Amino acid sequence: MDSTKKPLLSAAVLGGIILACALANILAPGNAARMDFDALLAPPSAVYIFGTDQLGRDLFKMIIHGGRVSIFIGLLASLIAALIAMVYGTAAGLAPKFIDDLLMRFTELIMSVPSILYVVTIQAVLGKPTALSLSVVIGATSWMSIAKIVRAEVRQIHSSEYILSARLMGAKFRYTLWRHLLPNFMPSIMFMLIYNVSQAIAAEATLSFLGLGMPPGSVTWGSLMSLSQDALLTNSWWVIIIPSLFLIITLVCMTNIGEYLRKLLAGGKR
Amino acid sequence: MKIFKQALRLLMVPALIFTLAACAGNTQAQQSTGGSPTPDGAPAELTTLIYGSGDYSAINPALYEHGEINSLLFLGLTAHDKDNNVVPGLASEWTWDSEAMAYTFTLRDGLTFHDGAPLTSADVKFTFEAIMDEANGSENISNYEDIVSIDTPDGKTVVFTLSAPNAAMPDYLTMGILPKNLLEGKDIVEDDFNRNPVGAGPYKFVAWDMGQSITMEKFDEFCLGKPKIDRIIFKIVEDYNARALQLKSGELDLAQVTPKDAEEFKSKEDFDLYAMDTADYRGIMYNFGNAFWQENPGLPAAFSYAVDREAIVRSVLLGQGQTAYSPMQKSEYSNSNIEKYDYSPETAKIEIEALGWTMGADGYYQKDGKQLAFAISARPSDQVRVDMANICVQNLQDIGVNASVEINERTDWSGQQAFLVGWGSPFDPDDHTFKVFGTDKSANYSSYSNARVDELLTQARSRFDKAERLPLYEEFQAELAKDPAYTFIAYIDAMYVTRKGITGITADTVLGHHGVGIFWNVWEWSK
Repeated sequence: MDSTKKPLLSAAVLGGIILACALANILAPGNAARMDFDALLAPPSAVYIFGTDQLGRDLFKMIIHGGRVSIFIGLLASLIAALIAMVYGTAAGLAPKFIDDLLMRFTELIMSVPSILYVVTIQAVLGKPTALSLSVVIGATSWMSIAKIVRAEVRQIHSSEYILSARLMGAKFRYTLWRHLLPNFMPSIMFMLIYNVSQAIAAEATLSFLGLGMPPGSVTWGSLMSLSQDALLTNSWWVIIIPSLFLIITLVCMTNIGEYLRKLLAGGKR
Repeated sequence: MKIFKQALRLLMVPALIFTLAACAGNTQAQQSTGGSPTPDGAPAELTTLIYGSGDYSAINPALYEHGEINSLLFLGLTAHDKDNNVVPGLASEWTWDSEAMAYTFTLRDGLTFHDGAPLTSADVKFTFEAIMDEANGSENISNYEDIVSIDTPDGKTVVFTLSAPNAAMPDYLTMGILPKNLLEGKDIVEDDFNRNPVGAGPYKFVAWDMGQSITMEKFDEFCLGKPKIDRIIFKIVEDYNARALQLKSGELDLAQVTPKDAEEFKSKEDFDLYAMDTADYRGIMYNFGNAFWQENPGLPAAFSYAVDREAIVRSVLLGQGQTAYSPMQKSEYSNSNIEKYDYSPETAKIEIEALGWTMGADGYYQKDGKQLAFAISARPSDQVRVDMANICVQNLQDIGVNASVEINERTDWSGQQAFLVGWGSPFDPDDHTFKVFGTDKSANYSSYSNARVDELLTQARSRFDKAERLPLYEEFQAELAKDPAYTFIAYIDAMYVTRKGITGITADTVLGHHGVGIFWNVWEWSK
């Protein structure tokens, strides 16, 4: 097996999905949840390429509009998690042992509780969820594993000569982080970052499926999961399979790309 | 070779899991077909019917009118037969004295409650005085507002003296009778009785596992006949999808399902599907207490033209329903010569513009700088209502009204602008009409007030002769159509699925609100 084979297929497929979602308003303009009463539960056809659901909503339209929300939340949440993790991990890595221990134990404490619980609780406090608030909440509860790796990496290299010389020359925390540490621990966390995006998308899907995510009435991949579940007892395979297929393909592509990047960047180092 | 061995090892894991799951599945199936374990561990020789029910927090027919379980645990002076006619219940006969303006009911001999205590006229008097006591906040109080006094000359006789004749009274006296000695002097709303109800119905309360199930056993001394099925369990399954799944797995013997799930059972050999006609309708209720409607009268009529009822029946109800234009369409008092507001978006727009609204640049109507926008509230637990609300919103959006759906767990009756409401009664035309549309009546949640409607309903309930009542109810429906309280949407058929072998269900009975009423003759059912 050639482990450095480029994930061209994954990149192409993922790129296609993201492009379609980004261009949702051009490809399928109008209200995503628009019902067509003359085409109830219509199988895929020329007019509705993925068919319609029980209330005549265009599945293709819902998938690409829903994808916008889900992918946006996934990316933003991951970004927030990455930022928190990098700062926290570096701080722990550079700190004296006692504080480092404290910070890491704290991290483990938070990790011990399933993150869904946090999300639900915080969201309940925040009130009506929006894409932004969900991103913040998911991001704020998924930085822990990345932080641990960052801290380990930082710990390892912070006693190297170039770091020492930088600090001797008066480099502040932010400069050290940005100029020296980040380029060095980035390869290690690359896979985790991309994996985090897919986790965040899955988290949003889970929440919306359970009715705890985006407000009822909004179209996201999670709400489409709900729709699929409702349709389980009908014979409409397109409602049951197609939405989950998109979610799975997106997550698999992301994982493939992350895996490739990890091998690529790690190859140079180890 | 190495890979092959690894693959084999990997395959062992799922294979193991599947075998274990299959075994577990089998034992589960065996357990459920054999009859669920009883609270007292009695042998499973008893016939048991498990019904998939909604949840209850308190059981008391006097206070809460919504409740299928009331018909099993309680019995009233009168009852209904399969055609919804009034027939004797606890009372064997009654007479009306028009001079004294009084109904005299004679109870049967030897009546007892489930706990063995005798049921006498004192219990009847107690029950209705409790309902009429405003402090108890009963939903049903308006049904009985004509009662001036209740006298009990002896243990078997009850005399209701009315302030005006009331033709619907025998219907309203199907109200379950409560035991006086268990509730006298207690706070009826809070008392533990509501979690341990005692009545005189065909089944007596045994146990209540909150949120899980309510178990009842047959009451051999039931005055209308000894029940055949030994035990009935109301298993709390609020989710309609779950009910369909549990029917299939055998955990439920009977349940009401959505039209979508009912499709599934049509072809199945082991089940009987009853698509029952109901008087249960849905509509958009406008909260006239909200400033928006007070400042902009006349809009409900305009909006009624905008709703595509046919599409709703086709999509949400899968054809299992009828378009609605009146609250008593299924009754013999129905008036079809009224404004039905047949679907016509153009007419809706004309009507809106006639009220002074003009189309704004954003695609919505506006007047005096205010946009024509309102929200229809719906509870998330009833997907049918949510879907109907969404379709109404789409219809209204298409003509330039910025309508939206607001999903709330709790209904804010005084603050909301509109609500996806449901009502309906297959009984006397006064039922679910007077108390719903009458000014300030106990079930009038929309603050609707129309003087002519009040006049007509009050007159109609005080006549006995159908020939006299018919024109009054016909005019009532015409008046209601001119000044709509609701935008009527559709009547919903109740889809009941039952395991084959359960007999006694009368397929032609017209059911009531929420499809309630199927248990009217439960003591005659057998499994």
